[in-house]
Amino acid sequence: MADAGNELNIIILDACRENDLTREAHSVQRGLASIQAAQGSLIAYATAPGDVALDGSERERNGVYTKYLLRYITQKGLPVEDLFKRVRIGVKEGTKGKQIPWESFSLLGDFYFAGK
Amino acid sequence: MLQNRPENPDVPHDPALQEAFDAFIQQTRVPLDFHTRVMARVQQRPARRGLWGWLERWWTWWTHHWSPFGVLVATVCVLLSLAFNLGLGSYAWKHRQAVTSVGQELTAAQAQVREVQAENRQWQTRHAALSGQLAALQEQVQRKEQDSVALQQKLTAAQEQVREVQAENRQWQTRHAALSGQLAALQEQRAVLQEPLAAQVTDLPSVDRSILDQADAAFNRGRYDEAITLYSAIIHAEPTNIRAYLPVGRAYAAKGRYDDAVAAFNKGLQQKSDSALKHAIYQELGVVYGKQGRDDEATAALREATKLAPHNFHAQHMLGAAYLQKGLQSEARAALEEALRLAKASPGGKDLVPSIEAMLRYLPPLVPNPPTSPPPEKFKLTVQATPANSTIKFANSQLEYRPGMELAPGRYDLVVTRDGYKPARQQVTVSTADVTLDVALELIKYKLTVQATPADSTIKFDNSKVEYWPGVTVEPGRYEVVVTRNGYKPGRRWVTIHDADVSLDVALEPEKYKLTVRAKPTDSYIKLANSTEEYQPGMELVPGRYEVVVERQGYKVDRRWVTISNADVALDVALDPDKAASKAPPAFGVDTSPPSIVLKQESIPKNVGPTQSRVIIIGHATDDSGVAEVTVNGKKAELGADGTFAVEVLLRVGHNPIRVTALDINGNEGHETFTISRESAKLPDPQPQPVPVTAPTIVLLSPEGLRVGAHEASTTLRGRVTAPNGVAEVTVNGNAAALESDGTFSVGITLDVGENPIVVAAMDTQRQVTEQTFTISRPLGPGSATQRLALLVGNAKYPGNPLRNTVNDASDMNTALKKLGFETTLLLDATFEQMKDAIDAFGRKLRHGGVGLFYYAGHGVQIEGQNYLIPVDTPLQTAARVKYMSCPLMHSSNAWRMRGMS
Repeated sequence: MADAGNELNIIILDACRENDLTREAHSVQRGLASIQAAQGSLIAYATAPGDVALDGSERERNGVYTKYLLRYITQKGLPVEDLFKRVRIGVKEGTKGKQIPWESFSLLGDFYFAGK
Repeated sequence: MLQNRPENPDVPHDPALQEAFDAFIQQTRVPLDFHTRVMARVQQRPARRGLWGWLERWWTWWTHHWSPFGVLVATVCVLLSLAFNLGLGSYAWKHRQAVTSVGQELTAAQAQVREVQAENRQWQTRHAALSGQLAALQEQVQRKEQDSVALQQKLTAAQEQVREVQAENRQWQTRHAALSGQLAALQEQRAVLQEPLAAQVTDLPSVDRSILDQADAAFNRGRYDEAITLYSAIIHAEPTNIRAYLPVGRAYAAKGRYDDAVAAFNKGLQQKSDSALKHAIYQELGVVYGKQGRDDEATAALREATKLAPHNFHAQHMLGAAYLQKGLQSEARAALEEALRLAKASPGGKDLVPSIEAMLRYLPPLVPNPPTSPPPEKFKLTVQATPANSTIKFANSQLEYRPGMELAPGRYDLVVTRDGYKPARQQVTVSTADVTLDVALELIKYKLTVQATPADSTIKFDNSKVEYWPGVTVEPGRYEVVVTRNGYKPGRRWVTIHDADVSLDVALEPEKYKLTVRAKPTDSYIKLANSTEEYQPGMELVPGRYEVVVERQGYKVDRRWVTISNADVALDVALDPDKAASKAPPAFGVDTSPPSIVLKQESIPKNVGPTQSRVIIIGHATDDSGVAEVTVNGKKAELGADGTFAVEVLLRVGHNPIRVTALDINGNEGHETFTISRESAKLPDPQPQPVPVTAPTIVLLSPEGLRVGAHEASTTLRGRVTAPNGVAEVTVNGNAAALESDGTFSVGITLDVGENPIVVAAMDTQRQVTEQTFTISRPLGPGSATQRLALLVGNAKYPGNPLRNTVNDASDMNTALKKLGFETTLLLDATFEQMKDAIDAFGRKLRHGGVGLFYYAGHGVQIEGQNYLIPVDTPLQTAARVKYMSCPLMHSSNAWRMRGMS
């Protein structure tokens, strides 16, 4: 994707949920490995490297991470870095510190999802 | 205006007025006559009933109340309305016709849709069948893998056992060697001890055993005089009885009568005797001489003793002591060292070790050739080597070997070598006599390894009794190796082994069988869809399954599978006429125009000479929606990013129909057909044509579309040069490119924003140069109009491991991003194939710049530091499976991308 030569890539991985595999196989580690974002890109993980993300509670429509992402993504005047910071704070409080999202970015310009 | 009221019962009739009125009417109204007439008639008869009466009444009313002009207007109106209706009717008629024709088209289109659906169902059926086969094959592969793992484990265990056994074996061998040494020493000792005893028992037929017993008893009790008397009596009675000489000598020695002892011993030595007894006598004699101070005699006697029993450490020890006594230090050292070695190896010699070591310590350090020592006696040494012309050398001295050379007593290390034989090292001790040594060399064996393809072939030697096994060692010589396997032609190779290991590669050729397709009509075009080989009647093919495609204009394409296993195959294919072929293709706003093909005419000769068996067809294919593939006679051509293609076609003698087919991405097909004739070699050629030379052709393969992203200030240019004479060099903008043997080249280039001219020059081995300029464009950087693209994947329905929110998460993100101006692609519960395709397509779209967002909600794992997003069709069982059946998220220092199966 980044070798596609476009100016900004954002990768959001709400992908590190607990599964049987991580409980059984030895070579399979919990969570995802951290990878460094290439120039002009941002990689956001729902949880810290090697940790697992939580599915939402039964009453909730969304997973915890996406819930906060949806809340802040439409807010105007929020640079993408700040957006993910707010999401992190929200998730940390929402899970009582059990899950802390994590990003790796190497952005060259400013980006606003909902405009300045 | 006056109204025409001819009859009004309320108005009294005034004739004058009536007249004036009538006159006025006469002037102004034309149809009055008619009216008057009608009215008269009406008045004449009683009022009618029914419709006619009603009409009459209406007419009366109307003519009374409307002026003629009004009538005229009304009539005109009626006529106009009539005309209008007629017009409308004809218009409607036309429309009706139009509707009918549209309806027909629709019916036709529906029919086609049904056909396509039917075809689609066939494909689906086939797809299902193939999927089934694939699954079965995968299962087989898995089972095979398991088998192989089990076998590997067994092998490892077996190897372990072999190693253990070998180690044990080594231990046993070491022990065996030690024990054999001990045994030899013990046997020798026993011999030494037993032989005099045996002689005592057996060699005394005539002497009274009791006298001997008495003598022995006296000797053992220390009554030496009595023993001497008895032994002397025995010797006197029977001088050949050697049994008595040793004890009588000992008894004399014990009494200090050394001269008598020496006399007795020497007498004993004159008798016929065995070596053990003689050894004992010599040893005793040496001791006695030593005591007399006759050192020369002592050493001579002891040397004889050691010669008779070289493993007896006592003799060696005493010899050493005698040498020491004489001042012969080097001889003393040699004898003592030997004694030490023997004593250490022998269980009975342990007690003697300290005393020998003490004597050795007493000796001064070894001085070569002490000038003081007199030149020792020399003996001849002859080595009889097999083979006779082997090289013989001394390992531990500067001496040069000559047969029969004279050597001083001592120990010599001989090395016998010869090319092709294992070198032999032999130790020889020259002590008191000439030595002749036999040395037979062993031939060196070399490893012969046959690498057969296929690997499970049977390998044998045809002219040798040696059985082949991997790593077998054989003597130098010529061997015939025969490699056989079912379904392959046997391979025979002669291999000569001189002086090194030989590894031989034997690739068996599969047994081939002929395939002939008899098509109706006979001029149909026949090709093999799953093979690169061009179909020719009676062509030879390796066993396998081949898809034969027979096609001809106006006929339905016939595809069938033919299996070639162990015999020639002939196939009859009769094509069905294709009625649907005449129908026009539907026009639904899709690109239906086929790609256009422009052939580079100079690359296509009409006729070629008999020696030219191949030609490279070069051309250019263009299409609005993109050229997907160009094939020439069914062979896929190398297709450049700008639509240039090149392909090599083999030519048979005679007419060669060539069909160039270009497919665009919508499946439209454009063709060009022509013929190349190759002359027959049999015809005498008055003017031998020079071999036509074709200049190299350059095709660029990447960057795709000759376009790079805005950020790419540099890229790797890849392409392929096709040259019949072989490519010698490729330069790009004057810089040499890395060239592979198949003609592909690559070179790094830097790119400015905008259009970058790239000059590629290719030179073949005949120094023919083709130079071509390409343009690679790099768009403006960020700041230009930005597109926003998003790909969202939400996976929830994992069998046995479902997730609750992920589909909602991806859907809600999709809605939010759409509102924010993103062009989105949403994938829910995606399979491996779907994810892979979507990610590939997304990457392609992003080449045009903009902001790209990839969102994933679902299971993900980390295996060996690599992240994998797991599609719903991947069983979450083993790490290995996940690895192969999920989407790894690749990352390198400057790029990340999704990768397919790795």
